[in-house]
This record gives sequence, C-alpha cells and structure tokens, in this order.
Amino acid sequence: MTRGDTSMVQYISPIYGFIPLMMIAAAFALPLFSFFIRRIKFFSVFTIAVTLIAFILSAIIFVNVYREGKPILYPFGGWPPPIGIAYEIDLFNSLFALFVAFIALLIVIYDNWYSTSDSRIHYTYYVLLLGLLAGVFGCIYTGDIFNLFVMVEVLSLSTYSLISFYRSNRYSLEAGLKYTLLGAVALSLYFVATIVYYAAYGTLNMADLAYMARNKASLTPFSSIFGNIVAATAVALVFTLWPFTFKSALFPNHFWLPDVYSSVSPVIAACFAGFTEATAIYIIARFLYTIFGLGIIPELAKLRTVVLGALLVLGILAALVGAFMMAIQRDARRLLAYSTVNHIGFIYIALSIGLFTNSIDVLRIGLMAMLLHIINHSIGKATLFLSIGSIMRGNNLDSSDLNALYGLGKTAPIAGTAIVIGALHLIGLPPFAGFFSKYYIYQVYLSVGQPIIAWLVVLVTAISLMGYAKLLLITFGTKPGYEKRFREALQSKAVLVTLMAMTIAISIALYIDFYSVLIKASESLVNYNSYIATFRDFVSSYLNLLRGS
Amino acid sequence: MALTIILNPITLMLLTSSFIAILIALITIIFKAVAKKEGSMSEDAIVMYIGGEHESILTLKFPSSDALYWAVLKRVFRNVYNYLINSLHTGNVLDWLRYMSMWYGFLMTLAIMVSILVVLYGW
Amino acid sequence: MEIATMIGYALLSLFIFPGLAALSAISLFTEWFVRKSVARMQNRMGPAYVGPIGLLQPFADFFKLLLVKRYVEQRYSSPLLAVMGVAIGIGALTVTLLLFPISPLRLIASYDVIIFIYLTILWPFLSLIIISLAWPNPFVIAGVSRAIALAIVTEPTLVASILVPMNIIARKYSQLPPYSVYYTSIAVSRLWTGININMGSYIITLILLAISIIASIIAIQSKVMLKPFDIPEAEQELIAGFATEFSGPVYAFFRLFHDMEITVLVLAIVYIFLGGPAPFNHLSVEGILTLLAKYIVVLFIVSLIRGAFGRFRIDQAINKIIKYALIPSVIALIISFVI
Repeated sequence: MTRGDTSMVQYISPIYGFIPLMMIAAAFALPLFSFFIRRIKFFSVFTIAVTLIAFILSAIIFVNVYREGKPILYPFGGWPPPIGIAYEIDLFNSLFALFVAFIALLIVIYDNWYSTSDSRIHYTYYVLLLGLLAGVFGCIYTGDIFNLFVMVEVLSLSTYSLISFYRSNRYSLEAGLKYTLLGAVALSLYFVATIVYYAAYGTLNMADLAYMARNKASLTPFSSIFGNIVAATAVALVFTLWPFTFKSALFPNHFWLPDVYSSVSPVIAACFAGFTEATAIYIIARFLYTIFGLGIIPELAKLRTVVLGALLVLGILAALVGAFMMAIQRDARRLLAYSTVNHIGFIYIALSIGLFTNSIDVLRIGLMAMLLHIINHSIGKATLFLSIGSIMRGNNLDSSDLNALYGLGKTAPIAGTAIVIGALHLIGLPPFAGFFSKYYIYQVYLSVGQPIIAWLVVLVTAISLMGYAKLLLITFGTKPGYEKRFREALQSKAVLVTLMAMTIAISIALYIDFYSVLIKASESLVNYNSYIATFRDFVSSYLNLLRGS
Repeated sequence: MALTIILNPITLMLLTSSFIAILIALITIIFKAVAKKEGSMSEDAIVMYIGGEHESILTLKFPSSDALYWAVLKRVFRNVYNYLINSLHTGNVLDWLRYMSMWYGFLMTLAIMVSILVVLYGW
Repeated sequence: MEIATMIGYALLSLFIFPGLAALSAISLFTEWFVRKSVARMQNRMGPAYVGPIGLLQPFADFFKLLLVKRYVEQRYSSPLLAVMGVAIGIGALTVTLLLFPISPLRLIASYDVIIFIYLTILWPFLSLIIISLAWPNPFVIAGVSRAIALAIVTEPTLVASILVPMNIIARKYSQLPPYSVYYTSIAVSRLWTGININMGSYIITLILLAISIIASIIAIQSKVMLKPFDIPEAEQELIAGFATEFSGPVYAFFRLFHDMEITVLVLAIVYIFLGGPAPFNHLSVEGILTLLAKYIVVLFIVSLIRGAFGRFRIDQAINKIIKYALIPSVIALIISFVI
C-alpha cells in the first residue's frame, strides 16, 4: 500500500458485518410478531428465510474473499481496529461460515416439519435458534478477542435455554443445569483471559496480538508480570484453551455431551454436532495457528509445542474413549454423542500436526484434513440425528433406545438409508467423503514420520465399528410386526437426500477443484503475514485519511 | 507391456470406486440372469431358521443390543470398561470435575512454570 | 497416452487378468489347495472326484450352486441386498490387485497403502456384515457380533504389520513415492538381500520383517475366519453363524468372495513382504515359478495352522491375537521408525 492511499477505509461494503446483526435483530423481532401471529409455522418459515439470507450473504462474502486473495477487514461502526471492534475475514473463516450456513439452512428446513408438529414448541424456540446462529457467525467472523467473548456468550445463552427447552422433561433440565454450571465457569475463565491479554498487550485485536507476539512488543508500560508478554500469554492461553476445549467437548471436557445429546430434540443435537462444537475448534485453531502460530518468539513457540502435544494426547484419548463407549450404549443418541467425542478426537489429532512440523506444505495438509473432517463430521452427524428423529417421530417413540429402534429403519426407507449412509460415511469408507479426511490425517502423520499415530487412528476406527454396527441394525435388523411404512415428511426427505448426496458430492468436488480451495483456506489460517498486513494496512490507511482531512 | 500410471490419491480413489461400481453392476446382472428362486413359497420356507422354533419366540425374548459383543466387552477389555464405567463416566458431576480439573491443572501448571521461568531467568 | 489404450488396459485388468476371471480361478484353486492339504493332514481324502486329484472340485461346487441350485427366500430376506453386499466385497478385492505389480494396468499414488487397507480390509468386512444382515436371523446377528469383535484386534494388527516394511522403505529409499504398495513390493527384496546397508541394521530389518510376516499371517487367519478363529461361523454351536440361511447362487457368490479374500490377502503378503517374483521378473519363467512358490508356501502355512488347531473361544482368540500378533507388530512398527 502506498502512502496516502485511503481506498481501504473508504470502500467498505457493509455485508461483512451484516449477518450476526441481522440474526440478532431477527431474533428480537420475533416476540413483537408474536403479538399478532400465533401460528408456529410462521416463525419457522421466518427462521428459514433469515438463514437463507445468511447463507447467500456468506456465499457472497466467501466469493469476495476468494477473489480478493487476502483477508478483508470490516470495522464496526467505522472505528479503526485496535480501538473498535473489527471483523477480519480470511479464506478459512469465510469458507467455514459458508459451510455452517449451509448446514444450518438444512437443519432449519428439517425443523420446519419436526418442531412445528410438536405441541411443546413455541416461538421462543426460534428466538433462541436465531440467537445461537448469530453467536456462531459472530464467533467465526470476528477479529477481536473481546467480541469473541461476547459472541460466545450469545451462543452459550441460547444453548443453555435450548437444552432445557423441554421444561417438563427432567433429563433435559438436568443436562441443561450441568452444562450451564460448567459453561458459566468456562466463560468466566475466558473473560479472565481477555483481561490478561489486554493487560499485557494493550490491545484486543487478533491481528494486533499476532503482530505483537512476534515482535515482543507491548503497548503497556509495565515491566511486571503483565508487561512480560511471555508469562502473560502463557496464563491467558490456559484460560483460552480450557473454555474452548469445553465447548468443543474434547476429552476430558466432554462429559456434558452425552447427557445433552440424549435429552434435547434431534434438531438441536444436530446443531450442536453440526456447528457449535466445530466453532470452538475453529477458535482454538485460530489461536494456535494464526495468533500464536508460526514465526512467534521462541519462548512462546516452546509453550505452543507443549500445548499442541497435550492436545494431541487428549485427541487420541478422546478418540479411544469415544470408540470404546460407543460399543456399550443402549441409546442411539448417546451412541452418537460418544461418536462425536471420537470424531472431535480425530479433529484434534489433525489440529496437532504443528507439533511435528513447521513446514507450511505439511501444515496446510494437516489443517485441511482438520477442516475437511469438521465438514464430514457435521454432515454425517446431521444425517444420523435427523434420520433418527424422523424414525422416532414416525413411530411415535419418545426414546431413542436401540432396542426400540431395532429394525424400524424399514418403516421409513429414506431415513433408513440415511442411517446406513451416515454410518458408513462416519466410519470413513470410500467413496464417501469421510474417507478422504481420514486419508489426509493418515497421510500427514506418515509424512512427518509418525506411523504410530496413523496406526492409532486405524485402531480407533476398528474399535468404533462396534458402535456403528449397532446403528446399522436399525435399518438391517428385523422386528416382527413392523413391516408397515409410514409417510415421511417432504422436508425430512429433502434434507436427508441432500445430506446423503453431500457425502458423495464432496468426494467428487475434491477431485474437481475443492481440494485446492481447502488447501488455500488452510494456508490462510497459517499465513499470519497477510492476516497482520491487512490489519496494518487498514490502520495506516485510516491514519492517511485523518491526515488528509 | 505394463501400463504404469502415477495418480494423485483422490483420482485413484475415485477411479477404483468407479471400477468397483462397474463390478457390482456386473455381478448383480449375472445373479439376476442365472439365479433361480425356490418356486413354491411354503410356510416352512418363508420362516427364519431358529433351531426349529417358530419365529413368534422372538417377540417373547428379543436379542437385546446389550448382548452384542458380550464376550469382548466383559472378558477381553474388562479392565478398560471397568475403568470407563466405574470411574470415568459415572454420571456424577463431581467425578467429572475431577477429570476436568486435571486438564485444567495441567494447563495451570504449565502457565505457572512458564511464568516462574520468565520471572527468574528472563528466559 | 491414448484414452482407448487406457480403457483397453483397464478392461483387461479389471475383467480378465488379474481381474474377475483370473482372480476367481486362482481363488477356487486356493480353496482346493486349502481343502486338500488340510484333508491330508487329517488323514482324509479331500476333494477327489472332479478333475485330476480333485482340482476342479471347487469349480464344480461353484457352478452347481450357481446354476443348478435354487435359493430359498425367507420373509425378511432381501437377496438383492445380499448379492450387492457380496459384489461390493468382490469388487473391492478385485480392484485392489490393480495396485500391485501383477496387474498390466498399475495404478500408483503416494500413500496408496491407505487405499489398499480400506479396499482390502475394511470394505470386505463391511460387505460381510451387509450380506449377513440381508438374511436376518438370531444366529446371524450372533455371528456378526462375534466377527466385529474379532475385527477390533485383527484389523489393527494387519495394518500395523503392513506398515512395517512400508515404513522401513519410506525411510531408506526416500526418492520413491512413500507408502505405495507398488514401490514397496519392488523395493522390499532389496531389504531381504541387504544391498548397501550395514550388518546391524540388516539383521534388525530381517527380524522386523519376520515378526510382521508372522503377525500378518495370524491376522489373515482370523480375518478370513479359518480354524482357530472360525468363531463367527462356529459350525454346530451357531448352526453356521452368518451363513446360516444362505442357499443356492447367493451361497455360491459368498463362497467365492471368501476364497477371494484369502487369495488377495495371501498375495498381499507375497508382494508386500516377499517382493513377489523377486529376484526375477514377472514375465520370465523363473519369475512366475518363484511367485507361485512363494504363494504356495504362504498358503501352506495358513492351511497348516488351520489343520493344527481347534476352535478357540472368542475371548481366548482375541487375547491370543493381542499377545502373539498385535503387540509384536506394534513393537516392530515402533522399532522400525526408531532405527
């Protein structure tokens, strides 16, 4: 950028900051509508419309960022970044947001059938759902760690209430209470972390933090523990990791997961598995690869190595615990919860590749495996939860007990097929896309000379077969007296068919060009230079503007 | 003589998958063409073979999903499952907190160690 | 390369050699060999009527089941699903051979061992589950549940032992595409003859290879459910396990699939650990004879184990596999990347 150039400040499109605001506005408009409109169908359609707009906007944002070739910075309220809140959108989070919008759209379309035929649902459910989505999009797009705290708070408040939405169900209340208590602790820890970051660096902007951590700079004049960014970062990183490993249900912070999954409606469970946990993983990846990633001062690099090592060990343990626990579950939704624990383990194994290498060529493949596995896991889990929801609703079951569900897949052909495809996709069988993310995990660990970790992934996959085979029995099993098929709802059929098609479509897309997009996206996560440069260019452009006036 | 092609893994996977699809189609067609079904569907033929019992016995005592992998779960991995069920996933929040605080404690120790090193030695 | 030539090669490799036709013939021969040698060990005649020394008996069995016998349907069965399941397994096993140097059309990629593992180990296993559940029956469910239980230890063992030579070669010959089935089977003979390496590392390499071969043979024994590990079909005890209700053409294809599994896994050992026709070429008489000899030797060891043992109980079987195959192969894998 040449001196005196102010173009960056003057032409900022408002769409980059629009999605979370629109969602929150829409959420709080619903109580107003409820004065005039009683039909629950209206609120559902409204939610679909808002999510659709978010999907289109996120697609536009993604295309813009892809064309631009470097991150885009959006200052909220026109305040320049280190002072005001800024969204910094690079290829990684724009792609991730696009995917989240897509899955969310599918889930709310399914919800249009599932929840509107449930007498316990009223309009506040949609307020909370929109709040959840607003929080997720805010977390993904934001470039400011305090704004991140606020958005996680928005997300969490919605999830607390959504978990305990069935107030008459004591399991719901229990799960909600447990999650709320622990979640509140986690969030306060992250709040402390932001305090420490601010005290040490004097800034809350992610790109600014990334810059200072690499230059040992600090805006605060103290030379005490707060002025020393190594000590402060160590403490703050602890308070960052623990909350987000809690939100993403990494072992040993996964205990809330089975209770929550088995007591909420399948739609909310699909939301959890589909994007809220993935968002927390994205945040950790952002912290460990962009803010405190490559090129960081050596003292912090050592700390980062230890942290990545710990995450790798926990990832392997999570995968093992999830796989073993899947085999002994009686309840399909609890089984899926442990399957999530298992897959979150895989995702963290992919994330920890930075432990073994600093080469961008390897790192980007590892992070690509992480992103692809997040995508695959969301698709697979959404498929399974929604199809099990369909079968439960169709047969008027209240519980998802495996013995009750055994053989009922035959009563609903589409949902039954979806269970099989979803399970095969999650096992990672070719040609389903689930294979490719596991393939890249194996590949990246073999290429850094760690065949044992690759082998552990195989071992865990073999153990988890026990659990997935139980799901296959839902469709392939035979229960005398249940031969009659029920009519599946259009929304359910459409969503499940789309999700099933996605499992194959991603494989084919990888062959066409999706692979290079994913690689570019993961490279943008590691490429701190352009992330920082965008921020610094913006600031100097703003200063130029001030001088000019 | 032999044709050796070096591919990237995605292409290889999709190529082999489509080959498998061709073979599946071929074998299914062969089966459809040659297989002969038992002509008369007598009452004897259409029921399951359950050691001579009538299949209504299944409604009395249905094999539960807990019975799967019984040997493995109860004998081979007994220690693993004893640990997993009796100390890890007890369902008691206080037990959970023990494990969650272990991870927290590890991170905290890390932070404190780094801080001490920095303060004492400037590292 | 012209597209027509490629399609020609693909069709040749897929359907004739080493594809469906040749693989079926070799598999049926394999079945004859196992039956005959086990029978001789047990002082029985074994197959004797069709062909010289009963060589064509499995062919006769196959075609009789396929063309003459009828299959019996049951109220809950879906024959088409069962056949699709078998076809998935047969297809996956056939296509696997394209990764090996035996095929005229050789498909190679870095890290294609993973594709090999998924095609040869995981898909046939899943197809076994699909076939069995297509003809539901309490015995079938029990058999499948036992098969899955065995698979928990069998498959990691097989993978760990296959990764040992791959890993050694990837470290020693870093100019080759790493972890590729084709290049491993080309280069593995150099490990045995020990060109260009010092004595200590040569001996360690030999020990590692020996351990991983033993582990993989045990794993194959359990994967294809031959005698000490025939718990999932458990004749008498579970009637016939997952094969309880198969009949006619479905059973014919199922048996063919099972024979193919033995064939492909033994061929994999011959190529990945023993280097195929090495030290000769594929297209020489010595090469073909060497390949055949190696194949027969490995197959004979498999039949020997099948003839020598009685059936284990499932927990015993799993413990034995862990003790004698899983742990040694994992230790070999760890050592192979330490040296």
